[in-house]
Amino acid sequence: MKLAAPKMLYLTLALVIGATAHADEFADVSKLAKAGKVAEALNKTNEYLSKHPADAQMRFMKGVLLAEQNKSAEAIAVFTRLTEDYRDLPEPYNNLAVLYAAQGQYDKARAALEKAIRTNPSYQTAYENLGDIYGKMASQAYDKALALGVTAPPGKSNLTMLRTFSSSTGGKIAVMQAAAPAPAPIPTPAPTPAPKLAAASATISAAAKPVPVPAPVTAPAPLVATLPSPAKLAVAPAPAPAPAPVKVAAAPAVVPKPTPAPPSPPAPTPKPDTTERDAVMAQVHGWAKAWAAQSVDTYLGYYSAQFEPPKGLTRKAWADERRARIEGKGRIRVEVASPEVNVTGNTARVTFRQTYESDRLTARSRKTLLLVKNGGKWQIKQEVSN
Amino acid sequence: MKARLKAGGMLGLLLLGMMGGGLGHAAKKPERAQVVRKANPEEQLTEIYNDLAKHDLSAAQRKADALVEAYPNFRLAHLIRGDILLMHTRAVVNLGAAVPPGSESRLADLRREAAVRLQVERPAPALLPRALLQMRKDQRHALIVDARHSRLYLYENRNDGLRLLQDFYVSQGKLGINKLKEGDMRTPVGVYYIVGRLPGVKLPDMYGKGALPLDYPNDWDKVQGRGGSGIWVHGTPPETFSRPPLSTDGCVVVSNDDLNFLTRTVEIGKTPILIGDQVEFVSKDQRDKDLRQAAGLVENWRREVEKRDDASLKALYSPRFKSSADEDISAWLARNQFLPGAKKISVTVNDPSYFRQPSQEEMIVSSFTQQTIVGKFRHVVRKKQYWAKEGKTWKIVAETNV
Repeated sequence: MKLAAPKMLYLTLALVIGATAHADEFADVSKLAKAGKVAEALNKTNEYLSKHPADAQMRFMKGVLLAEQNKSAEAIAVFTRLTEDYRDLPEPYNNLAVLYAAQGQYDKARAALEKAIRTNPSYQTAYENLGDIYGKMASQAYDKALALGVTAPPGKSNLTMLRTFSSSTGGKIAVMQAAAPAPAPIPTPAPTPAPKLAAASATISAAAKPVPVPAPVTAPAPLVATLPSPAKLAVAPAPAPAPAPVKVAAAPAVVPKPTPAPPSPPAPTPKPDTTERDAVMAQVHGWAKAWAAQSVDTYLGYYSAQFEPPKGLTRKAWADERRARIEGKGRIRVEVASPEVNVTGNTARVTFRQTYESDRLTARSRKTLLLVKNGGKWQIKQEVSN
Repeated sequence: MKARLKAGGMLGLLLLGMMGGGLGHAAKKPERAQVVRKANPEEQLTEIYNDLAKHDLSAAQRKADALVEAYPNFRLAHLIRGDILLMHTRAVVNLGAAVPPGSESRLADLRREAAVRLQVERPAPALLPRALLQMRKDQRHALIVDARHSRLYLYENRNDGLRLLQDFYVSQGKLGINKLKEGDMRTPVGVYYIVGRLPGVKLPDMYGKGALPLDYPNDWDKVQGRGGSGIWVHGTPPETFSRPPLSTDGCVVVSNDDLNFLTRTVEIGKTPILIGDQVEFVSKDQRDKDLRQAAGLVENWRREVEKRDDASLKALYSPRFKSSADEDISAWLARNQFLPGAKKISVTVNDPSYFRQPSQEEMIVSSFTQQTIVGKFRHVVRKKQYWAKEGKTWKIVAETNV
């Protein structure tokens, strides 16, 4: 359910837009952070920001790092400014919400998540977090109702803090920054198969662009909306926001045609082979069933060793997050509807409408699973919500 | 019938089984000519439920947020807000849908409070409270406590008739009504008066913003040997906006806002408060008939006093009669006879009031000024009589000179 593949596109954009100098720095910071050297990472971030104070990705990273150091107030300040400068980005709102929730300020958390969703109606993490917030607020309300007096400490929040921008927004930033300094030479990007990079570095290079405007800018946001430039075209194929879960699935907006470029170039002529096709669908149904049954081990078993976790997460971090998300639920229902299967040699692509329902949340989205055949067994290599 | 509410795409339905068909008639109130009042908390609750009935979750959420903001100790509002918050993500099928285990009795209390608050049935504008047969001109207000529906009605006695000013949610004794003795956790049934005002600052916290003591036990209670004392109308402690319907030791408890309003409105020693579980609202015809009957009883009594025929006067009194000094009827009448030797006397009854106890037990309480003139001598006494229906006839069971 996490946005996985769009990252590619994001990278494409970044490359298209140009300079990659920043990517290295970002990669360094990211690496340090992952190694647990948060203080060091933060120093590097500050250093970079002193030169490029408006760099959104880095500012975002700074917020994440501050949050990891439990410097909530500072982290909140960073994310708040980001929301002011980039009103269209859901991630800073989401992370603000996580921080507010940790302080037990559920009203503020709720408001922030609602804004996150307003900026991006298909924003799954924000929905899941919002579901949690509503649950927490409800239980707080109940405590007051019953005079339990146990103003329960905020406690461990299982809200998801985002470590990086997701693709869609990365795209936006790129566009904003590209758009600001006059006609950036942006070739309409033929969806070039993205160079296969480690997922992590892919995300990182996002806003790889010399910062055009140093000061906090409020203008860019509306700019994006009306921008009829090539830049806009560049964004267009970005993971189209799926219909908001609440509003019930209308036809999924845009199905990204040039989506995740598989590592091996897709053969243009898919041969329908019902045996393979059935085998693939059996796996997909098994996967959905394990998910719904909350048998996390079985569920994770459907993912291949080559699986690329979204958001640049490590396999383990991703698996832990999935476990936390799945096991805590009272009930889960997962429905796979109108699947389209494309089998090409040892890879298969299944696109279907997914209905996810838990005791807290109902979400409908369009999903694409990319499966590979390993030792005669189909496994998920990539999972994309769109 | 269950009230099936659905709000918004995601939330499924809310089934307040306990509400019965409450929503339908909860909202309507009689037309009141004047004063634009800010919606009180209970009316806001009703509005929230109406929003949910209209599938308007965000309006309901907004109002619930505002309500708990304004009344942070209104527990029922918090409960309903909790449900509304859950409705954003899941179906809510009853009130307090996801309350943690271990608080069942509190939840049950809140559900009862919700039921009585949201199921309020206010009388049609043309109907009159049967209990208030006739008030004295100088009695500007009267209170009626409907114990069955946890409701207090405040009536204004205007020259052109009675008018319902407002009604309030009330809590009563843990074990309900019909107080008999000290510590029985029951609220008395009868016709009483507000006899004082006690400011909250001089009272323990549990009385809230103040108290209005009642004259329980009244004369009839005393004849019946009913005990206990200190029955008050009072407010709520700081930590809660309201108390469950059955939660007091016998007092009638209202919210502090309501208490303040009542304190300003009532007149000490004049404002009656009638408590019972058979509060009826009847047509003007029915009430006029009841009034003629009550006035007829007193008129009959007046004639017998004037006739100075002991036997027929005594026949109007119940064998149960006892005076407050424990005298029997003969001793009581003898003591009350003005100038016993006189043959030709004139008796008039002025400024009467007639109240009908709102209970199963039929009882009329009349108060009036009795004036007796014998030649050039004149005697005036204010009397209170308790008439009870014994078999098919009404008899005086208690009588006092006020």
